[in-house]
Amino acid sequence: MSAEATTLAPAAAPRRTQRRGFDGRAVVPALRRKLLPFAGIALLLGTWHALAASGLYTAEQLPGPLDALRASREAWSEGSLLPHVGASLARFAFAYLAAVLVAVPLGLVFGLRPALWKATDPVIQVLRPISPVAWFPLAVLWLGIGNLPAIAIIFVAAFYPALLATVSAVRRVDPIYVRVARNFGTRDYQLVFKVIVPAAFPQIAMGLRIAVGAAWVYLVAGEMLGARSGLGFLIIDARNFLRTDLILMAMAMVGAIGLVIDRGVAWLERRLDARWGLSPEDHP
Amino acid sequence: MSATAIRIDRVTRRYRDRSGNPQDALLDVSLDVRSGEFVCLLGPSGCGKTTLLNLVAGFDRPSSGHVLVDEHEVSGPDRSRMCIFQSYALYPWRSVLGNVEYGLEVRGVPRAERRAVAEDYLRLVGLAGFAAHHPHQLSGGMQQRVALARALAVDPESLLMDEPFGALDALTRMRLQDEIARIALERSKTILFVTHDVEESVFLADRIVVMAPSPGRIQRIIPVPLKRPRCRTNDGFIALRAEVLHELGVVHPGEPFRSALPTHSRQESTP
Repeated sequence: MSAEATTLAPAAAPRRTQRRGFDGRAVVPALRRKLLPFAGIALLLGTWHALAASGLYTAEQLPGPLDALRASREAWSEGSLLPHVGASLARFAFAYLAAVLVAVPLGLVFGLRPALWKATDPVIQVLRPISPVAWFPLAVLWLGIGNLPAIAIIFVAAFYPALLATVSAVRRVDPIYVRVARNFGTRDYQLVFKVIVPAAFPQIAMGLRIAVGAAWVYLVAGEMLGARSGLGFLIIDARNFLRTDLILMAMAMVGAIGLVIDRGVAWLERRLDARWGLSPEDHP
Repeated sequence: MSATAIRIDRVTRRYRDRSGNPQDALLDVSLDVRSGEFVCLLGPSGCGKTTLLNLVAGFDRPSSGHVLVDEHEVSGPDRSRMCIFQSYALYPWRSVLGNVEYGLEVRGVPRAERRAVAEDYLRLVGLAGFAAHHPHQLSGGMQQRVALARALAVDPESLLMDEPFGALDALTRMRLQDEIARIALERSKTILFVTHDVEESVFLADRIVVMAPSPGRIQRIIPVPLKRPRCRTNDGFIALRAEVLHELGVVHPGEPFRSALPTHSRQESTP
C-alpha cells in the first residue's frame, strides 16, 4: 500500500517552500491577512467617529462611537444590558430552531416526492417574496403583542432558506449513492436516514447558515412588536427617550452578535466539510 | 463445477432517443456465464456493455428476452450481485470501516460481528491500517479497494464491475488488476467486467466478449487459454492481445496478422 502512496505523491509541491527559506518574509503576509478584518472594523469606527465629530450633525442626532460605548457602560451598570441580550438570544434560538425543525423535515419530504414539490413550489415562491415585515399587522392581530409575534417573524425569516436549501440538497444527492444502497438491499426508511440525509447534509448546513443570518436580521424588527425586552425593544425604548447613543449602542450590539453567530456557524460548517473532504470551492 | 450462473437469453434493450426514435442499445444478445468464470465485456463506447451490466445488476429491465441468475429471472438489484463503479461511489460521510460495514449494517448484523467481518475484508484488500480514514484521504486506487471490500463483505455470488479501474493511473491499474485476479480466484467469484482496455481484458478474463455498437451486440467471444497468474510480457499474452486488437479493427501496418488461437477454438467455445 505504501508503495502506491509513494508513486502517487506529488513531487512538485515542496519547491516553493525551499526557495522561500527562513527569511521570515512569509510571516508578514500571514500576519497581515489576520489583521485585515480588524483594519476594516477600525476603518468603520474611524469613519463613524469622524462623521460624528465633523459637526455635520448635532451630538443628539449622531453620537460617536465613544458615546455609544459610554451608553453601553451605563446600561451595563444598570444591569439591563445582559437581560436584554439574553432575551433576544433566547427568542432567536427558539424561533430559529423551530423553523429548522419544521423546514428540514418538510424539505426532505418535498425533495423525495418530486410531484408534491411541483405542486408546492409555486406556493412557496409566492409567499417567499413577501417580507416578514409585511406580516406585522396580521402577526399582531393573530398573536397579540409581545413574545409570539417576534418569534413568528424570526420563524418566517429562517423558514424559507432552510426549506429551499433542504429540498435542493435532497434533489441533488448523487443517484449513484442510492444505487449502491439499493444494491445492498437498503429499505426505504434506511435509505432516507442512512444515505439521503447524510449525503444532503453539507448543502442543508449551508442553507441553515443562510437562515441563521436571515433570522438574526429580523430579530430587531420582530422585537418592535410590543416586546418588553430584547435589543429591538431597547431601540424602540431609547427612541421614545431620544437616546440616540443607546440606539446606536444597541445597533452595534446586534451587529457584533450577528458577526459572532455567523463566524461560529461558518466554523462548524468548515469542520463538517473537512470531515467530508469538501473544499470551500465545492459550494456554489 | 461449471453451472451456469448468469444466463442472458436473446435480450434486447430499446431506448427512445431525444427525437423519439427507437434505438437498440442491445439487440438479441445471448451469453452464458459459468459460476466462477471471469468474463470481460470489451468494446468501444456505445456498444451496450454497461447496459448489459445494468440488466444483470437489476437496475434496468430488458425490452425483450430474459436475464436469469441461478435460473431465476432478475427482478431488481440484489446483494448476491454487487456492482463496482468507476467512480467508487463510497459514502464520504462514513469512515473506511463504516463504508465496508454498510451492507452488513442494513442487514441488521450486530455491530461487533460486522466490525470483525469488515476488518477481515479490509485486510484482504491491503487496507487494514486505514479503517479510521475517510474516503477523501485516500488515493483513487485505495478508494476502489475500499469499494471492493465493501462489496465482498456481503459475500456476493458475483461482482459486476463497470470500468472499475478506468479512472486510475496505469501503474495503480495494473496493481489492482493483479489483486482482482487473485481475489476472484481465491474466493471463486463470478465476475462480469466491463472495460475498453484490451490488455486488461486479456490479463483478467477467462473469456473476452467483444461487443460492437449500433445496435449493441456481441461480435465475437474469444477464450483466453493462458495460465494464471498471467504474465503481461510473454509471447502467448502478446499474441492474444494482437488477436483482440485485430478483432476490434486495430491493425498494425507492416505486420501481417496471424491468429494465435488454434483454429478449433476460433468460434465461441469453452476454455
